[in-house]
Amino acid sequence: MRLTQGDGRQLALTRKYHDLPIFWKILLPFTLLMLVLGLAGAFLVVRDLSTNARRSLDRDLFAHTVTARAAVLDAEFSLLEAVRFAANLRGLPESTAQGDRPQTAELLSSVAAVKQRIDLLVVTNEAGEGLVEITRRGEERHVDGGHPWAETPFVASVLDSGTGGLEDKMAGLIDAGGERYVAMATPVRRGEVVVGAVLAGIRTEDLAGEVSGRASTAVALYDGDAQIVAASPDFVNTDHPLPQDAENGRAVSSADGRLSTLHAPLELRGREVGMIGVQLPTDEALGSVRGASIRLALLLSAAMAAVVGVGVFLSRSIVSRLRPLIDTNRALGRGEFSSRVALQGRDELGELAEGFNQMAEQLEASYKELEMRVAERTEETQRLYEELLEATRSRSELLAGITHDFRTPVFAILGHAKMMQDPDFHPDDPSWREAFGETIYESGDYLLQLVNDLLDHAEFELGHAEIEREPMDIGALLSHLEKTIVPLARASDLEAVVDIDDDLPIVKADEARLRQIVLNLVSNAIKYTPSGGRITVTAVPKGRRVQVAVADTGLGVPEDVGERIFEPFYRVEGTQPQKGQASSGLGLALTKRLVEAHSGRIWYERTPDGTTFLFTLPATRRRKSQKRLQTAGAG
Amino acid sequence: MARTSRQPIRLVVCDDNESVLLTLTRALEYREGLEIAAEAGSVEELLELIDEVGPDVIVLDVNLPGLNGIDGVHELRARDVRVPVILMSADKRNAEPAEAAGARFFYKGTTDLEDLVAEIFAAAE
Repeated sequence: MRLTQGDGRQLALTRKYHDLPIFWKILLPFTLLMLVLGLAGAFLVVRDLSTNARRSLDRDLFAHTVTARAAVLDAEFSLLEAVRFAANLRGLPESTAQGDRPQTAELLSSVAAVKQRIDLLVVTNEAGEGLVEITRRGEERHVDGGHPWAETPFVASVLDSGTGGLEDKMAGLIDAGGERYVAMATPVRRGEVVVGAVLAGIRTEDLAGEVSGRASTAVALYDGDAQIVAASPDFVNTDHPLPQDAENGRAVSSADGRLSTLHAPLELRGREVGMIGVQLPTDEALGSVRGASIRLALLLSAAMAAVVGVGVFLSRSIVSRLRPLIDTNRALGRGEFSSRVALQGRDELGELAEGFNQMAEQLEASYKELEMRVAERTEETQRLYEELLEATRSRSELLAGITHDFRTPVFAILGHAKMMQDPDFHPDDPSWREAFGETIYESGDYLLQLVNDLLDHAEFELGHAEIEREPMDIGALLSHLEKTIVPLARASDLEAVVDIDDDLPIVKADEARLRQIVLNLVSNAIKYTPSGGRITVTAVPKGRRVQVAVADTGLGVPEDVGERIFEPFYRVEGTQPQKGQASSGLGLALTKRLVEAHSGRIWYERTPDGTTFLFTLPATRRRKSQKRLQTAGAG
Repeated sequence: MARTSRQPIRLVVCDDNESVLLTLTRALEYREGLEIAAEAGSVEELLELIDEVGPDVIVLDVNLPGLNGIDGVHELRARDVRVPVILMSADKRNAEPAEAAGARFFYKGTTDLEDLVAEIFAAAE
């Protein structure tokens, strides 16, 4: 499978996470999650709050604008009443037509007295020249005249209305005597003829203050060029007065965002003459949002601190309980197998600790058992090693024995041969030839016997010895051997007796080997029995066995010899075979092997006269009659 | 030269092995100037007959049952018998202790007995 780069990065991250201590492993996701969720939540809440606040601000601005426009409408109505009242005043058209200034001033003053709200009252002649002009500032009135009002567009329109038939009441913003007014004009007619015009105005400054008072907010009035003509004192010019703002009815914010202004068209007599701006501070509305945000931030911080605190506590409590596990684990690693974890609680960690302790116990037990086994094996190995050493030693001794025993007859043979070769050899005794021949023959014979015994021995050593066991009559064999034993003993000037029980059972044996066993024991007895002694061979049934004994009246075996007599080349200290006898030193060792190969047992007993060698062979079945089997007799 | 044909060197040969003893006595007996005065099968036997025989040289096997040849030399010296002894062994490692005991040494691993004869004559000098 091929890893993409992304997978690799993810793997690296996973590995980094795996490498973190558990403390951070738990705490980090907690904190990150809390941070992300908290910030997202706070963002959503603050956004909703500020949207709501903005909407509420817009609603407020709209409501204030409606109130402000109503106030402007009131003012318009006052102007309308004033011009209508003045234009229809009895005597005014006449005085106007005649250009009677005092009369007109008197009439207009009465109007001004009634219409308290009007700051400017003007009557012009038909040419638009100011006949009487009453300006009021507070209680003070100033009467003037002679201004060329025909330059004021809507006054000119009003004067033309008599002929054009255009609308007879028109309004707008005017400058007069350094003051700005919202003004309305209407023609003064005598009959159908326009003889002049009446103009009423309200100072824009006053209007702005009035509207501001009515709408309970800062208000500004703009002219058609979007320049402020008047504003309530608390209005801040934010340099945003664009006609299109008034068109789309959208509030604009000040550069610092602390003020919001909604502009609406300023209409007089259905004509847009400028704009009205209503301004509210955003602080009030958005301030609550800021407060909520701060509270939210504090709450979030507190929650995060709490979560981190809980996370720290949880991580610590888990890590602090893991610590003994780790320490004990290390101790076990160092080979302190008796280390255990102190159990705390019954949760998963408790279970882990319990399982760990069980494991440690098992480990300790296994280790002890292992140590014990190692000790046992070491002991066994030591024993085997010693046995091996002993075997090697006995093998060396065997070799030394073989060498020694071979050298002797060879020495005799070669020594005699050498003498016979010597031209100076002239023995006095003429019978030397016979004597030499006898010595050489005997030495050769002994050498042959030695070689035969050695080969037999080697066969046993190598496990190649062939024993073919068949049921046979041991009594028959022994009585047959009597013919060999008796002359053999007699040659050494010994008496031999063979005594066989008539009721011997059949044994399972290799006849040639059994013959070898008996003859070995007999020749051994002959070798160590001085002239005139006696050799007795007996055979008796012993339970399920046949026991054969070869007793002599010989030199005897010292008490401390024990089983060593059956070792190859072992010779009893201080004893010598009788004259003319030679021992290969292997006879008894071989005999023991042969007996054991027949599942029998061989041992010897020290008697007052000499020594008795005994061996037993297991019986196959009891013989039923005295009749001898012919198997043994033939050999 | 003092003991030429008229006065042969009188020997006692001591070895536990009968055929070895027989071979040695036969081989030394016919040599001119040598005479087998007695044979012994063990040191004990040798000690018994030594005073009576009074040999000129003793030829003694090292490896003997009971007291061995080296013990035998010490035993002879202890009895103030000053007769030269030739110790024989088929083990060459016995040469050193033999010479340390004040005896000559003959290696028995050969059937060439000229060396033994030479040793006997040298010892008798």
